[in-house]
Amino acid sequence: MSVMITTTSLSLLERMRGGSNQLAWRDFVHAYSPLLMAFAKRLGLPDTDADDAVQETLLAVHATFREMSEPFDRSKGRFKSWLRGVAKNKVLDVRRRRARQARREQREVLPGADADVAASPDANELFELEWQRNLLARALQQVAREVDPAVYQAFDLHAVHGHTPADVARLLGVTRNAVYISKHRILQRVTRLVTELDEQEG
Amino acid sequence: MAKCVSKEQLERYAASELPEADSAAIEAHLESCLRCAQALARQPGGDELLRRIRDLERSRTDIRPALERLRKTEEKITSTLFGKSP
Repeated sequence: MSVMITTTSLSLLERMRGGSNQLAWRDFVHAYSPLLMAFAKRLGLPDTDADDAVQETLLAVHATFREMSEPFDRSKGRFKSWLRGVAKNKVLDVRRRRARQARREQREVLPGADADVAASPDANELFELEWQRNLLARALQQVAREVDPAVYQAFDLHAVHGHTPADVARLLGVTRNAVYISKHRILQRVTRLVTELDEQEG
Repeated sequence: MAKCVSKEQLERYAASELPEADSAAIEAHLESCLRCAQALARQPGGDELLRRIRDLERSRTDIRPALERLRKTEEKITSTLFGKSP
């Protein structure tokens, strides 16, 4: 049971530039949809409206990257702040659209539909919370791809789900030492990956 | 490395402060010495990260149905933008 670590390639944002790299786009959608979905729901959108806000945000991201000819320049602004702005605006658009529709149909308006809920300072905090969660989720997914499945399973069973090292060792047919080492190595790698991802995309 | 790892070396290893060769030697020792592997597990740090990982597992379960729906939408968007799937 060995812990092999590989490094990431060109940053995702750089691969997205120009808008023609379909695999980069797919990676982007997989990486960011959970964040955008969680954020839209935290701002109070029901499921179908959250779907719409996420789709509209993704399309806006693609349109911007398609027009981008120069590498992403962090000194001119951070991707995270830009994405947060787009996501908030799309949530607001959907809420206002639904409120107009409800009024036309003389239905009850969604609470807070007219309020600038997405523009409140709380929205920024919620986005940051989901951003950090998303970095962690992506780092864990990457580590799970990098290491021997038994190493990751040992980590998951012991460190995340609280099974004793002895039980995990017996179940997986490894030593207790390997269980302790797996926990340490994976936490170390996750910490490093979260930092790298935040530096590249934050 | 037959000799057990000193407390200081283990702390530095846990904090990723050692050169690669020293870390590799310690790892080789940890593979066969349960006492040192258990001492590694007692090193501070990692608790906050683990709390966040457990919290993440719970929150991801909450939005899993939404993500399943979104997967179908992804295909639709990708096909709108690029024509067909890769």
